[in-house]
Amino acid sequence: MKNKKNLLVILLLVALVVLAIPGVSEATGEMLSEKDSVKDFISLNTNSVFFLFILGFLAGVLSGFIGSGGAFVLTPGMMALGVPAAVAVATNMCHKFPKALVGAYKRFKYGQVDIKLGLINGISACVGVQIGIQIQKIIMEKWGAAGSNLYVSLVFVSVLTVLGIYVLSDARKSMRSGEGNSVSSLAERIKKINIPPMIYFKTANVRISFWVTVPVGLATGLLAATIAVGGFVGVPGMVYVMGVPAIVASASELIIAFTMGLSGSFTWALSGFIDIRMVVIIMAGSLIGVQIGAVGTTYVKDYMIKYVMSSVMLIVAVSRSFAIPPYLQDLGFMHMTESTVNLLKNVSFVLLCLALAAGGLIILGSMFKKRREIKAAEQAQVMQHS
Amino acid sequence: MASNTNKNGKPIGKAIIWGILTIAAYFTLFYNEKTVMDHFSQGGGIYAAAVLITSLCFSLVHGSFANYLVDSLGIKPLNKEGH
Repeated sequence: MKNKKNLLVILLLVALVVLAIPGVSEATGEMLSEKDSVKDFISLNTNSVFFLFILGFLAGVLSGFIGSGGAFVLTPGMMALGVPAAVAVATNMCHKFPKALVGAYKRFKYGQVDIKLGLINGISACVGVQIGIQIQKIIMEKWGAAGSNLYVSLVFVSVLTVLGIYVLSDARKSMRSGEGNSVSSLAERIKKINIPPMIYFKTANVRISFWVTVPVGLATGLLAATIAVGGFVGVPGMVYVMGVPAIVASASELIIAFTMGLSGSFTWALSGFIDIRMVVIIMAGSLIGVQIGAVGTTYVKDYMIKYVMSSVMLIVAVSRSFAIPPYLQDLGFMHMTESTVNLLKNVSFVLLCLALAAGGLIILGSMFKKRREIKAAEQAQVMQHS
Repeated sequence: MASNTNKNGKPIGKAIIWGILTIAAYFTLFYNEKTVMDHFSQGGGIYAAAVLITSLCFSLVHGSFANYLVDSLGIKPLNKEGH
C-alpha cells in the first residue's frame, strides 16, 4: 500500500516537472511540413474502428512485453485511414502515456519496475529530446521536409540494424548457453567507473555512476525525438551499458515513455489536434494488450525479451529502408514514377504491420507454449499420484 | 471481495462491474461525439487538460476492466517476481 502511494506521488511530481519543460513536447517523432498540419477529423466506420482496435491490441502486447513499440505503426496506420499527419501523431502520443502508465503499474506489481532508474533516465531523456528537436530544426531549415524525412529514415535504418543485429546475436548466445540473464562485458567494465555520485538501483541490483546513466538517457530522448520509439535504444542501453536485466529495463522504460508521452500530448492538446475518439478506440485494444504483454514477461526467460525486440527492430529497419528512395526523389537525387513511389510506400507500411504482428505472435505463442508445458507437467504429476 | 471472485479465484464479478462502467464511458463519449469533438478540438489550457483527464479516466476504468478480464481468462503471472 505504501509502495503504491509512493509510486503515485512520484508519478505526479514527474508529470508536473515534464509538463513544465517547454519544447519537450515537440517530440512528435516525425517532422511535419506545413501542409501536413491540417486539423481535420475523419468520420469513423466499423472497419476503421476494428482496424484501430487490432492495431492497438498488438501495439499494447508489444509495449507491455518490451517496454516500447507499436508507436511506429500507429501513426502510418491512422494516416492510411485518411487522418492528417499532425492529428495522427497527436492521437498516437495521447494513447501512449495512459498505456505506459497501466503497463508500468502492472509490471510494478510483479516487482520488475525500478522507479529510480526510470525517473533518472527520464530526466536526461527530456534533455535528449531537446537536442533531437534542435537537430531536426537545423535539418528542416537546410533541406526542408524531404531532407528531414530522409534523416529520420536513415537514423531508423542505421540505428535499428546495428542494435537489432547486436541484440539478436546476444539473445541467441544466451539461448544456447541457457542462461536467464547475462551481463555484458561492457557493463562489467562500466560498473568499475567510480565517479561520484554513485547510485544504487535496488530492483535492477546495479550500482553505477550517475554519469553513466546520462548518455543512455540522452540517446533515448534523441531517438524519441527522431523516430518516436526511444525504447529501441533505451532498453538495450540499460541492458548493455548499465548492466540492468532486460526484464527490469523493459519495465522501467515504461516510466520514461509515460513522462515523454504526457508532455507531448499536452502540447498537441493545447492546439486541439488530438482526436479523442481514436485515442479511446486504440486504448480499448492496447490496454488489454499491454496487460497480456506484461503477464507474458513472467512466462519467458530474459533472452526472449531481447529476441522479440531484435526481431521487431530488424523488420522495422527493412521497412524504413523502402521509404528512403521516395525521399531521395524529393531531394532530386533519384527519379521514379509515381506508381513506384506508391508501391514502395505500401511495401514499407505492410512490413511495419508485419513487424507488429510478428512481435505479437512470438509473445502470445511463447505464452501459449509455456502454459501447455505447465499443464502437461501438472497432469503428469496427477497421473503419478493416482 | 470474496463475493466478486468465483470458486477458482477468478474475479469475474469485478470484470463484469468494470466492463459495464467501461461500456457506459464509451457510450457517453460516442453518444455526445459531436459536442466532445467540437470542444476538445478548440485547444487551449482547459480543453487540453480535459483531453488528458479524459484519457486518464478511460485508462483507469478500461484498464481495471482489462486487468480483471485478463485475470478471469486465466492469464496470470507465473510468480510475483516475474521469473
